[in-house]
Amino acid sequence: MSEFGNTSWVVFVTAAYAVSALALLGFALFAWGVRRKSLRSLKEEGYLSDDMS
Amino acid sequence: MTQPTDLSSKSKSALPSASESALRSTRGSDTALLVTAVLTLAAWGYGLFGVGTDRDQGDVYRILFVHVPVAWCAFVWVIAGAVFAVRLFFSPARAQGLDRSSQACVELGTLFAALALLTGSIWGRPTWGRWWDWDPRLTSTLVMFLVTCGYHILRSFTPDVRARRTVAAVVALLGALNVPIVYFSVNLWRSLHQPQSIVANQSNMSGDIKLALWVNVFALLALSIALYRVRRQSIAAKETLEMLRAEQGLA
Repeated sequence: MSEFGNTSWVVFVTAAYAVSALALLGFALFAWGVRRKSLRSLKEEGYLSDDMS
Repeated sequence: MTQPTDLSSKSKSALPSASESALRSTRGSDTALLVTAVLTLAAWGYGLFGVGTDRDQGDVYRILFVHVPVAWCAFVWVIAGAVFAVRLFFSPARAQGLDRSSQACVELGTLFAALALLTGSIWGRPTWGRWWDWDPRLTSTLVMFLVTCGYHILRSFTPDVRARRTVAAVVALLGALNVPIVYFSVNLWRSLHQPQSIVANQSNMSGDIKLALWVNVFALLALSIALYRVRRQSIAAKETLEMLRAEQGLA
């Protein structure tokens, strides 16, 4: 069974993998971005000592 | 209003050295994230191109290699969030760290539960003829997802730190109670959803498909652990910044 009505299986499989990839990438970028911004602010506001970089 | 602190005089960190070291040790977690992302892509490639076609569903069954791993990851992280929540009640001295860990776990549980619902819906359309059904497995998964969403909403609307930790921990425990209901729903009730993919002492899929499934499960689990580490660090960094700013009286 490779056709579902007029829609190839490729559409469904690609959609499932694409949605998962985008969601995981989005979460990773969100987490990384928040961490980067917070660490930068901690350093700029003097809470992290420079000699530990 | 207090005079702004002369930051030039803060050449020494206001943080304990262990906290500062923990905040700075990001390179290992970034490397792990990159490596596990590549592993996951390779596992997906194996599932898409390295395994034969299913006798009944043809090639659309390949959604299995993303749908089942994300569902199992949802279970793992919702339960992990509850474990940290339970420890929070027994170790109030470590409440801050345990609360951050629980939050990161539940966030991942929410993400993977949403992905399980989405990929399941995409798979259901060609195989069942519909995007959604009020089937026990689907409905209980939706309930689990909504409880985890409630966790985040409650955290946002509870300004007091101690109350937030307590409320969040209770909701995390409630979310974990859903996991066995979701997992065994296909056995307990008449369900449109297919039975469990992996059952002890039973062979309900061919060896090559089972191998590809396990490869994808471990790859995605490894990726989720790497995501947890990065997210945990970001929560710690943000909360530490907010705490130090509050101590200094800065906006």
